[in-house]
Amino acid sequence: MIYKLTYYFIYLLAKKRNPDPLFYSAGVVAFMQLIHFLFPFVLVRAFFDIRILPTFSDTYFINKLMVMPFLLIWLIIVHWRYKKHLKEIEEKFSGKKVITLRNGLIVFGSLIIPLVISILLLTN
Amino acid sequence: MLSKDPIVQAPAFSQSYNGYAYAWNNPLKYNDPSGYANALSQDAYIPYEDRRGGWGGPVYDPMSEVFSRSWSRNPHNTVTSLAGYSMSYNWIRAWWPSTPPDGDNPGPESSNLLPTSHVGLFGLQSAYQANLGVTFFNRPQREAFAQGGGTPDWVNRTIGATSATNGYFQAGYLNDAKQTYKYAQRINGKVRSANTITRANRISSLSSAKNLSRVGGGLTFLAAGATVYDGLTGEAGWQNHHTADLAVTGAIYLTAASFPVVGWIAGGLYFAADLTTQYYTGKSITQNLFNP
Repeated sequence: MIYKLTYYFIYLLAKKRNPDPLFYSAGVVAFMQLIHFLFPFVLVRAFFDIRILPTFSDTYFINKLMVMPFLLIWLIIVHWRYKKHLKEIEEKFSGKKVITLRNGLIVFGSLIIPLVISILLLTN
Repeated sequence: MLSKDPIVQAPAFSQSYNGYAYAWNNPLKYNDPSGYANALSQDAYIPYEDRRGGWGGPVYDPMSEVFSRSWSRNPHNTVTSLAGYSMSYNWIRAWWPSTPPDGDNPGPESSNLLPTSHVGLFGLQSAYQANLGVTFFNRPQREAFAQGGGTPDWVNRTIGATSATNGYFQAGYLNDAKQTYKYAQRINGKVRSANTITRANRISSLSSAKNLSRVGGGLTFLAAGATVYDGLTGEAGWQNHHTADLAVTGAIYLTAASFPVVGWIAGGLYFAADLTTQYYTGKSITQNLFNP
């Protein structure tokens, strides 16, 4: 539900100016899903000092490059999946005002709060 | 007497160039009462969604739609036709005469003749775009559109002829064969040459923009995601340079969403700079800033 709201919210925001708003909204949703996916692992690491997820390299840049293909696959899956269900999402929100302060807080809160908590827990 | 059609009524549809074919070799669907241009057969089925305004519902002025949509969405200020062609609005205004030439002036009614772009539709275009259909509308006809309240028969025939069926470029119904005959040769030549130019504009401005937008958006997402992954799973934990990188990529992402070109330039420059810095120092820009 939160992902659909995020997807549609960003889509409505971006579509006035961006030539491909669906892809942008898929990017935000995929990013949000990544943060939500990592959050439990961060909690486990912070409280039990157990690292579950692997790192590919100790070098920051190399590690980023190694992770990117997986993220790219995930982004494409999210894009296709949500694009396919766009009509369904539009029907779900039809008649409702989506661009509101409340929805904005929900969307960006869901994105930022777990990220900030994760950062605070793992900051040395 | 058998003679070749003087009009190429739909330049993008190859059947139009066969001057001896009757109704594009599709007499079940079209007929040709005037001998100059095809009309949709009365028996042809026109899907609901292809009718502008629905069954007898309000109909719209197609010209105002064409221009307003193109105006608002097309940075090159062009009018896009069904076939994906486009021509400049200003260019149309420049050459389109306020009264017909050749001394045959039907009066003030005809001064409102406006060309919508050329007729036709490739099948992949949606029925929505069928609203950009083409014909010549004189004042009474356009008023009939504006007033709504029932769709006149000629509108249905026009719309039907400019609608899509089964994935092929469809018809162009030119409402008034006589007027068409007078203008068609000029139009065909000028529109087609203009199309060549504006099609290139369209490709560069829209298709490439979309692809570039995807690449830019995808790269910034990947950069941000990879930064978060590294920060939250890496041995050293979350560092200041992760925060800085995330802020930079987030800013680029938001910028690219609103101002794509600025976002691409900023993102591309930052990526190139980061790559270069990494190559020469072994650290990214932000790592150098926080851990020199």
